[in-house]
Amino acid sequence: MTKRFGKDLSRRTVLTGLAGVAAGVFAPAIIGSARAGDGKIDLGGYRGPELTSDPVTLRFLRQDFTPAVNTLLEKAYAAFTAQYPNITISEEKVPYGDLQKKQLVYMMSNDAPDIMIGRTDFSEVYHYSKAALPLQDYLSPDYVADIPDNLRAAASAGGNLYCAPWETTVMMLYFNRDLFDKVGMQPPPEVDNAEGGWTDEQFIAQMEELNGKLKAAGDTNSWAYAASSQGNGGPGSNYSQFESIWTRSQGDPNAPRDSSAYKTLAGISADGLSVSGCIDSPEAIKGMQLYQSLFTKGITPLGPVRNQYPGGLAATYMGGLLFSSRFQDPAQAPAFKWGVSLPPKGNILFSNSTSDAPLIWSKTKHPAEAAALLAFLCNDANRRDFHRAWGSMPSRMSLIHSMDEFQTKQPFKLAQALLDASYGAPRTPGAFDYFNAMNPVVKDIALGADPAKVLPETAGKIDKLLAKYK
Amino acid sequence: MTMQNIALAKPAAAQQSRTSPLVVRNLGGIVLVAVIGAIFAFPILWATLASFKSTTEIITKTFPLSWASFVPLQATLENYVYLFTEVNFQLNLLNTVIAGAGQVGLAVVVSSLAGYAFARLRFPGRELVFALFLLTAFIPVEAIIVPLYQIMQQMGLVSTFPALFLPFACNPFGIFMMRQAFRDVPLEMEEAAKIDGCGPLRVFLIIALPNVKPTLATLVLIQFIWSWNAYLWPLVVMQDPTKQIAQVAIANLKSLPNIPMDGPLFAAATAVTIPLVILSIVLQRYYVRGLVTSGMK
Amino acid sequence: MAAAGTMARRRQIGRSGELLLGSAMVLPAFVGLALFKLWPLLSAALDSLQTFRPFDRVSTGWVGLQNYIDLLADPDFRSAPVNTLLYIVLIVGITIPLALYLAVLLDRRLPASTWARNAIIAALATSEAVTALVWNQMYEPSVGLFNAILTALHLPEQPFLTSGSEALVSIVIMTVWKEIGLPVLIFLAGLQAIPQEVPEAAKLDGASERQTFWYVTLPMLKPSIVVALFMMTVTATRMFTPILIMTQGGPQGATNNLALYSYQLAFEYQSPGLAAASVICMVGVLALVTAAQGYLLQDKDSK
Repeated sequence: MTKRFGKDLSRRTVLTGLAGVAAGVFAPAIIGSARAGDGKIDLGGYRGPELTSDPVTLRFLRQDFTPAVNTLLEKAYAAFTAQYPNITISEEKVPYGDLQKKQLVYMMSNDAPDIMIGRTDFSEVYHYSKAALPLQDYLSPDYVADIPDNLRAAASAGGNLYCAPWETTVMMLYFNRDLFDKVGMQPPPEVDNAEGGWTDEQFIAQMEELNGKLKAAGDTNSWAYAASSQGNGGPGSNYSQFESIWTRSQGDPNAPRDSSAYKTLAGISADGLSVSGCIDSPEAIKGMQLYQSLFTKGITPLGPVRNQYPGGLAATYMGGLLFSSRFQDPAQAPAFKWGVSLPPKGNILFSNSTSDAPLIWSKTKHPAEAAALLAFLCNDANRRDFHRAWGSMPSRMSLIHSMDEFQTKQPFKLAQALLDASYGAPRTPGAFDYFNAMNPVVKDIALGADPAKVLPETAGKIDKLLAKYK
Repeated sequence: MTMQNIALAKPAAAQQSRTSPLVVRNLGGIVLVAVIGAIFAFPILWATLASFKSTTEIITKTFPLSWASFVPLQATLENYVYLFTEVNFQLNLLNTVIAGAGQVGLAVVVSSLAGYAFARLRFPGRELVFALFLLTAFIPVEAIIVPLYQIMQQMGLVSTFPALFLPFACNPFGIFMMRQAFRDVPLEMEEAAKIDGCGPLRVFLIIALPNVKPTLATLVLIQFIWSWNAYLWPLVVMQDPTKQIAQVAIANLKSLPNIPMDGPLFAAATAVTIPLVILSIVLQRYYVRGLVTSGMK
Repeated sequence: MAAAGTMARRRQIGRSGELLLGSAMVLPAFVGLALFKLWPLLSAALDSLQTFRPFDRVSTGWVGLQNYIDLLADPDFRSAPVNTLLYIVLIVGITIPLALYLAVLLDRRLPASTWARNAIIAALATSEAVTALVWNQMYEPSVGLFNAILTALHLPEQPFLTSGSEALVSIVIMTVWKEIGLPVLIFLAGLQAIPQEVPEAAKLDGASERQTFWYVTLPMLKPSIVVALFMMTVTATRMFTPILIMTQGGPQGATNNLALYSYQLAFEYQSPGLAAASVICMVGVLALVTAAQGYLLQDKDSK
């Protein structure tokens, strides 16, 4: 059940604030070096039993990262295996777009890797299928409390923490100032809180104008809005984390529970078994029609385009904090002047709190060892290295507070504001069905299908698929 | 009908006299044939040339059209280097060869045994069983993938090398081809051996088998090519990335968020395709014979 | 020199030995095909009559034909059998005549024929996955090679795989490119099996090139045509890898066929019962089409 609504906001913010302050006070102690005083590696929040000395192979399923990040992880494995030579770590890397599907196949096959990168939107699935180990048994309470409330709630189900978020995903609107200057238009406002961004209609109107002016100036290579680089790229690649922004932002958290506005924001019924009235409500259809106009007006390409925004070929782009981090490094900065604003808002400003979160397979033969490895990879030093190299936002408050860009720089402050304002994914044991059914429909809509027709059809289809979880 | 040696390359003398003085008149035909060849070769050549371009060059130079869309202006081996150092593609190629060897080995044994039995030995229900075998040609692997996967699970073979080739070692076309070949071995040779006191098994091993070598060669080639190109079954049954075969590994190169992999994709495609193309063309006599007679009733 | 009795005895032992040996030699193949082809098919048929729990796939009961009824009610399913037939009709309808044409052309042994034949064989030797990946790049609507060529020729750009009307045809064209080698080689062999005297005799009787082809050559190619037809029909029915890689069945199910649909039901929507029902439909379509072909092509005149 989504937790973040109305009155909950202020209470949760205070709690997080307090936790943040507390963590901040103790930060220097928590953020030690990778090796604690006695030369042993720091297993972070691990509070489980002693590790075995029998030979063990741990399998780790994850998406492929950049070479820099892959190297980092390999160094971490080396440090871990130096401390525990009886443990071998075997990785399996898949493209991010195939990761969840691969996981589903594994979960159905009774032979899954010990650690898998899951996502918080599947926590109900992990609970229902008993595929994930409850992690609170292996992690210290401090560690668990350090995770922001809404992320932790998203990663939990039935009272258990099933996956430990290891980064936070927020979508922000990047822009290429040079392209805006070229046609004499104002880029979106560079705010550092949740107020003042463009609305969907403003965004589309501006993009249309930008597109026209670019073509008039003879620029046929640049696009107003870059193609999605989520998952496997292109439209419909990652509805849960990305395209759902267009539909759910048309909802209203303060509307009555049985109104279509509330349901649109929720994305699913209270019992997690029905989407009719949620993804095919008038608000949802309106959201998808706005999304579709991006394609029909030629604002964005129909398929994936590699490296579009960083390559300077698009004026705007919805991306994670990754880019802000990477662009701080002169070696990775783009060739143009860039800025960041809020994602376009519908009825409300909407941000997803779904994030990558590794889980441990419940039937692993080495739960303690797997948990220890996971905790080690998530210890402060390793996490900070990861966030520096990959660029994503940490998913623990103490880490966020220890990185001063979150206190000083606009993109990072904006990211934190978005995290505070974020909503969890629709909670259902049928999250895989939901996800696998929505993505192709979003792609179809991008390619011209009528949302008013296909969304109700898909709602019927998903309802039928969810029936098996009753 | 005996299997004719299918002559493909050398025109008969009679035909030569028909065509050579008419080269000029047939210019249109020659051009047409050349163009057809170019159309068929084009995608393979394009992909091969693209594999020598850096990914940036591929992305930026394809559209709008120019010579650079086809020809690498700054040829580089970086894609291949990446493929064989970062992706460790040679491991996938090796796995493909292992799977192929297993398939070929098993297919040869099973098909020759069964083919000889159908050709020369009498046992009850022979024709019925043979018809049943042919019927299984109607069942594509796509239709039975889930139950087949479950069978592999129950046998504990998921993500092992045998899982890749075991289900396909018994190929109805292969058995048909071997039966045909054994039938063509002169009966007198076998009779003579029997009179000399050889039991049927020895006749099979010493007389029949050595005389069907060309067909065996064809069977080997066809099974190897089939195994090399298989995609769906390895995708489903092989979850261990260190044992995964090349075709599936290539599909994994499709994308990485914000990090295009087009160059290595083409390099991998070339690495996987060119050896087979060369093999097929060089050994086309066997390839053709196998394809053609495997279906003739 | 054995006495007659010993010969007879040897023959008797020989015959029972043959029986034993024959059965033993056929056994591996029999076990293999029964275990890996027939049993799975039977298992699929049985599964199609049950429903299952998600994740552990334990059966929750026998439901008769309910799965088939549910399939018919699914809007996504309605396009799958139609598309399966469409693939079959288009692929077979384009490939067989084109292959005949190419075979006749190549049979004339003009100087460039070796080059063309090798190119066609090369296309045949590529794998479905590689072909799909390469052609996917070429079909890309904004920056792909085909649209680059069209633009350079001042022709309108095409949406190819992103348009409901063009996607299936685009995949068909790619499949024809890849698979036509097989019928071409079958027909070439068939053409070469025709003794030269036959068409020459027809010409002496005054038949034109065209008449010779239609009334003399073609009937003699009938066995080859039957074989090629069967192989292409099976190929067209089991189309899977290209669709999975290029369009995943879209846009809006325009390229979805029974094979892909079954896969999605099994692996993405955790519905083994429905998937099995869909698979049985696919095998049914194949059986029907092949039976129809067999009926239409049966030898009405004795040879």
